[in-house]
Amino acid sequence: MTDLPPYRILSHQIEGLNNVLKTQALAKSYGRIKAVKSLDLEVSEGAVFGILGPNGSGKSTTLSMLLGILTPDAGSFTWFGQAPEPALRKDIGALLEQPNFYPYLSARKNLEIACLIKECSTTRVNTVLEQVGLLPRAESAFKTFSTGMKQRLAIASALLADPKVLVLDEPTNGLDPQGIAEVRELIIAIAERGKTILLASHILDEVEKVCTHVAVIKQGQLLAQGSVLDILRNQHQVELRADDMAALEQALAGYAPAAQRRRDGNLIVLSMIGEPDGTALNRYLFEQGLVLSHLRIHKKRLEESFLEITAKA
Amino acid sequence: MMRLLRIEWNKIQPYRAFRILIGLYLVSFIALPYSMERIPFLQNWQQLFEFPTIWFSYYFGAEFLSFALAIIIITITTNEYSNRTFRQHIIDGLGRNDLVTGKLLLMAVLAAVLMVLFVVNGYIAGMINAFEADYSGAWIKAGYIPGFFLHTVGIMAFSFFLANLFRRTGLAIFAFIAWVFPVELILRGLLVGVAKDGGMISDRLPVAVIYSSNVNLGEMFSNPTAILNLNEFIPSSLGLENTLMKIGWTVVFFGLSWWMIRRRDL
Repeated sequence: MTDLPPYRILSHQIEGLNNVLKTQALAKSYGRIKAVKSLDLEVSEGAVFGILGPNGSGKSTTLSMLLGILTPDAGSFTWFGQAPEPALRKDIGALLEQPNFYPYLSARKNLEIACLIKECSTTRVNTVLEQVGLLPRAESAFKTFSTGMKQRLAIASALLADPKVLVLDEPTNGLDPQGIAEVRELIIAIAERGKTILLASHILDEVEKVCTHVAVIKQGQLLAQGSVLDILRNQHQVELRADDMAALEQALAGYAPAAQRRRDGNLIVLSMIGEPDGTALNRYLFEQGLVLSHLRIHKKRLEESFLEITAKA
Repeated sequence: MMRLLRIEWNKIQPYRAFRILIGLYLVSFIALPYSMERIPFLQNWQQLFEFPTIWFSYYFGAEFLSFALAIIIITITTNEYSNRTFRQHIIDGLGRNDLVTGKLLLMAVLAAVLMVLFVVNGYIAGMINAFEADYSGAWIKAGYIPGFFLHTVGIMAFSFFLANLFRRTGLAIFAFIAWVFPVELILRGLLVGVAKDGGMISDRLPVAVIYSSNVNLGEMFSNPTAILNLNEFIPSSLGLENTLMKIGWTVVFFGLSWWMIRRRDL
């Protein structure tokens, strides 16, 4: 494993710290449609926690419940170890789905209102506008902004009270490639300052690039939760075939470097712990009296991990 | 409390539709006691615009204008839904109660300011119109002053309720007009026709209470003796029952709005 992104350095600092957020059996239905089914999440301090799932998997619904917009049908959650109450949300900066501002007010006036709500100093307005590169347009009305600028203003608003936690729902939605790169850099920069970030996204690449931890959800159900390394790591895989597949399977059962074994058509696929050694594997099997007709080593791509996890549901 | 008020004021003060509507309303409201006496039909009734009946006349005329207040409240409330700013306020850390309290405070302050204006402007108009410079009886019918305050709060509470119920500006304004003109009138007619004590209920419907002319104007203008004893013909206040009913409906409308905002997914 070369070129480690910066988050890998952070991840070891996270163990054993306090929970910022904990949900217990959180559930929400819209009529007969169950948007979120009994969700248990745990986000520790300093984590960049990704909620990964396809569109309509219940990500926004979950975040809306956590931010007090939706009332859960069942279950409970705590922020900073306390039962939810409005004042706690002042320590949470959030961007949910789309930026919500008064179209006729300037960027500055909109942020000043947010300042009054969050009870923070209005001197922060310039700081955050600068941070997202909107200071030159501070006096323009929100309705004159482009999609990207609106999104950046929403991020500025989320940063306004210098919150402990940042909740971002698809923060790169509707942005151009440059804007996406900027937002991701911003998120990483904020995370490096020790903030906890909760990021919902359907883009795997985004979660992999910025998150330390991830929860994969589909149709409102939690499929997997853990560190990005564990859940979405770039595992090496070995494909094997022999004439006597039953004997091969039996022989592989005792092969220690394989973390996981599954049948895929007429192949056996091994997920390896660490760098696979093709020679050693071949020799091991030969010693068991097996001759391979196929041996291929490849890196499992993230998409495969994701599809593997979501296909199980 | 001041914080919630400041939030509300920051939202509406730069809003052009608010400025225009409140501006038009204030101009009409201030001009009202000076212009009513110029209505040809009322010219023989100069006494209406002198102390102390001026309080009744001003109240009566102002009731018509408060339609503008209804539109203002509906617009600024439904805006919160269409801009999804109620939602954002919650995310930013306001409680659902704060959303209602903020608007309630704004309306209370607006109604209080208008009441002060009502008193000052009414008194000036009364002085100008006074037959002789004797203002000793100026406050005899001052009961219409709190009556005006309660009317303003009531009409705003009703508009706020409709705005929260329909969440769309056009729909809420349409509902307001529809209720004030045909719907309640039809309902009143039906109630009186159907039930024995229908009149009891029909007089207690919201518009009947909030728009409470306690003087039968038709009778007043057709009665030749009315002009001679106008002061006796026009009561000195809207009466205890109407006052309590106004407060009652205001509480009901704010209560229902509060209930909706509390329970709803925003």
